[in-house]
Amino acid sequence: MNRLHRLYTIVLVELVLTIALLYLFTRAFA
Amino acid sequence: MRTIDWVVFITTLVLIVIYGIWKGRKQKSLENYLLAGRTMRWPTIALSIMATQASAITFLSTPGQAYVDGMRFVQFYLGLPIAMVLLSIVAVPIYHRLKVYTAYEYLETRFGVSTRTITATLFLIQRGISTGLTVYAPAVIVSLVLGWNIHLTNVGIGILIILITIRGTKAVSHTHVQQLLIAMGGMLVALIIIVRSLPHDVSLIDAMKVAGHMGRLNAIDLHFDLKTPYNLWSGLIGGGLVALSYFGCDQAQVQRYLTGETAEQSRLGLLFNGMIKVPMQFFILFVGAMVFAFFQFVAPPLFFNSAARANLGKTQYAAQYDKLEAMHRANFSAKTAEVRKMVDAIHAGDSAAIASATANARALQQREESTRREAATLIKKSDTHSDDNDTNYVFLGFVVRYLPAGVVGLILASIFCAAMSATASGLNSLASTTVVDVYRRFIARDAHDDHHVLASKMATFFWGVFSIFVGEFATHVGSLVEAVNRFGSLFYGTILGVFVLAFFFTAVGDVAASWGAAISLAVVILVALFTNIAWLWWNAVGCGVGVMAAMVIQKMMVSGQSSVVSGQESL
Repeated sequence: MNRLHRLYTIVLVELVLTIALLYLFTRAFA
Repeated sequence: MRTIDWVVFITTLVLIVIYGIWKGRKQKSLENYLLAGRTMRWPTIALSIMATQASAITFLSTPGQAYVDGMRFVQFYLGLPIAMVLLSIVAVPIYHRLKVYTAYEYLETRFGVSTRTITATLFLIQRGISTGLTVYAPAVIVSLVLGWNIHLTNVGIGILIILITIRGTKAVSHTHVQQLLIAMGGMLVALIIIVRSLPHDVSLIDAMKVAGHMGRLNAIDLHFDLKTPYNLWSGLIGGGLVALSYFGCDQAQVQRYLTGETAEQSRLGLLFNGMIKVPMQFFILFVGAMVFAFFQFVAPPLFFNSAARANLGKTQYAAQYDKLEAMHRANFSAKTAEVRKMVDAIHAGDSAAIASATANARALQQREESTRREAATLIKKSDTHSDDNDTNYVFLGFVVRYLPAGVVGLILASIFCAAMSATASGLNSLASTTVVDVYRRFIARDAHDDHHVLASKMATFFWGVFSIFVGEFATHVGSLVEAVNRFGSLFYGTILGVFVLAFFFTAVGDVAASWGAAISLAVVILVALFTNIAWLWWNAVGCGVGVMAAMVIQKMMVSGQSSVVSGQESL
């Protein structure tokens, strides 16, 4: 995997983690 | 505003304008003037992209949105990182290889002149009007809250923006960095002061728990519903399509990353934006949620727009409003007592008491909201021109009333910086499209570069004055803010459809793409007029209809041509 593909993967993985964190945040403070 | 606020406010703005003028010196060629000589590195590109999207309304209205509706608006940005990756793969290499000045210039090499001209025209209409509104909307809010003259504020912001933008893209991109940092710094200072202003026995975590129990930390909604604008699915799909269209086909954004010295620098700028945007919007909404928490312990005004409130006081509705205000005060006393019980229960870890206090506080909150709606109705009745949408006034109303001297000036400078950054990109892109896609394409094809630089400066000045005029003729800010989003969504889907055809459907030609765009625009207008589908979905409709219509027309044209050919062969 070259550098660009690694970057794309990082951005998309970060998005999934962000959604998961936001979901947990919503649940934790609801 | 106190003297120290004026000093902070004026010094910040003057320094930024001087910096922009200095950075914009020696712009001799069109490539230098419109694309900063294609010399930008990714940090500047990324911050310029973010500053373009973050208008003053982002900083004024988003915290108010969290105060009124909670944090679910953050979902609107969840499709953005996906769009950044797709654009880095598909659009950036094409734009860089063809060395285009505008996104629409590419459409001529791909389709032909008619598709380029239709798309550039749609962009000029949509961006021309919305740029005017991005100047006017903060001008009217700031002037109402601080009692400034609306016309002077509107013209003042407009002149500051023209001064920077007329110096070219390099000046715009470099000042974007300062503007975004100041705007975000202002929000951070505001958050710190809000948290420190909470009662001594209420910690940040307590405040978050209170805001959460009161339904203000609702960041993710998994429920799929076409009629609610903000849930995970509308954010990923609708928001993703808006981001694709906005960052891939809107010259205001495309111009930011066309300045990259290589395709890789442009890609890095977009991807960095993809990583930072959601946390940044979360942070701005969180500030609003903390303003909400603050107002659970300190009585909020019934209506934050103090100018509208003062005007109503002079009318026959004053007595009715006073009655509502008395109800609001009594309701608040009861609610804050329940919130206090909630905090005590949180400290004691008593979940039954938390549930009971939450239920009571929520019921009282609903009553408060219904009183606020009645107050808004009275405000509208007292003066049909007054702004009955209080969301935009919550944050600035709070800042002016509760933040210390100096910080108010900093926050105001932040708001002006945001207004300048979004509008500068608007003017910059309007000038590029006017000169490159219209003037240089149809009127002065063989003129010298110097001539086109001068034409670009004149176009920047023209669009700057046009924006000021749009503001001068606009009246209702509340409906305007929504109108900016709705109006943009009428065009975004259609423009995105044209670019999707360009990138992915190589068989489709100029005539089919032009007709596809016309049909898509007509369908989106019909959907907007005759259905209650939420505006985020208009982008999906416009894109889908445009692509399908163009493909059907292309197929009909091909089969028509082949039947003509076979007819000729049989003769």
